[in-house]
Amino acid sequence: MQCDQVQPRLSEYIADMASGRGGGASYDADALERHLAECPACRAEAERLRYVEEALWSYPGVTPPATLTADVMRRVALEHPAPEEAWRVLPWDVWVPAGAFLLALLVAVASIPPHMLPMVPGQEIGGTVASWSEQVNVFLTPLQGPVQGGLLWSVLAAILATTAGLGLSLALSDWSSDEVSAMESRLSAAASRLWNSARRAQ
Amino acid sequence: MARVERAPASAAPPGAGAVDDPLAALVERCRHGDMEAFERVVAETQSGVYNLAYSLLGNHEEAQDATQEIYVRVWRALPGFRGEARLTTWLYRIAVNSCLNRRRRLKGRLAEVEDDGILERLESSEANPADVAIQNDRNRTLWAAVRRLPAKYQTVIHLFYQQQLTYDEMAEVLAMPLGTIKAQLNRARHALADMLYSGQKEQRDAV
Repeated sequence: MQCDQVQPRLSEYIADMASGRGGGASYDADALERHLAECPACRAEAERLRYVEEALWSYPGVTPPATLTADVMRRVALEHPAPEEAWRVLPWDVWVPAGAFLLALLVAVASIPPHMLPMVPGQEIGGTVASWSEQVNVFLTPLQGPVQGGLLWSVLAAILATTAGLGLSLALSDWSSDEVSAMESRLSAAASRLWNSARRAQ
Repeated sequence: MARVERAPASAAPPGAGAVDDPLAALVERCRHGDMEAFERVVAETQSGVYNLAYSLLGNHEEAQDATQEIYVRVWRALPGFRGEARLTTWLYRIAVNSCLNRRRRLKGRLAEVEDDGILERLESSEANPADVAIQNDRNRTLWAAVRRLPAKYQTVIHLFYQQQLTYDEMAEVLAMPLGTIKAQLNRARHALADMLYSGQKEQRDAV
């Protein structure tokens, strides 16, 4: 082994000797040691590297601040829940109303009679330009069989959707029971006024 | 010279399947949003991450902020972590990238905010005040020398000597071939020898 072959591998050899490790080495330890025994220049270089190696093995760490874990967790808490797993940690009083709302919305849309949908120009279906309602029907036909009750179904579905939506908004907002009671009073007062107006009109 | 036994490098190549990870059970709980489990992971691993950040940024405030940012990223990404590497390997990969990006962002300002309170934060193994003073002096010289190295050499020195990662683990963390890792370590050690050995030899000759 020559000096130019030894020197690039010297620091790895010394580090491996210091750590008591072998395997996967890029040098032949026996050949390298034979060369060191014969070559004063490489021995001097090995001495420099051994000094550095010894210093580095006692390379001091810094003590993290005592509050670091708490600080990290406070910051992470702002991210909680993890976006990808949010659905797993949503409480039932969020996902039940949300599910009901989506279901009611679907029923409401599916039960609108086609002739009540606005007629606007649309894309081609089956070679002819279809109205907006015809396009919607393409998607809704499979759903419309069971709920084809016309306007009554639409009204019932709208009431269900409103109730579920209200439940959802209450669940998502952080209202106290007093605030919920006050909202109920306002809603019933508004409903009474509407009912009285309708009777007077008749 | 201190002899440190390292854990044997994983026989399986990266991505070859689940690896033996002492934090695996906690990680699984974290993946399902368990904050308590994540707090334990943070407590177990924060020293290494903070030290890496401190080593690369050289400033307490920046290191603390970087550590928090790293764990926020880890928390966000945990649901996608499939255990193909050890958590610490994956964590250090995020930490190294994050710290190097921050270092680039702060390029001009980092020298201005250099922390001179390093001695108060260094861990000491000495009890005798005289020995502590000698060790402090040696530590300060070593830290100053390492801080003068280019960032890539600082990173490999930190991962190898302070975090005691194997060559294989370092290759995985830094996404570099083994040969490049060894070459960078070799150049870093020679650069440190140039900085540290001459001064030390002058002191010995004077005595």
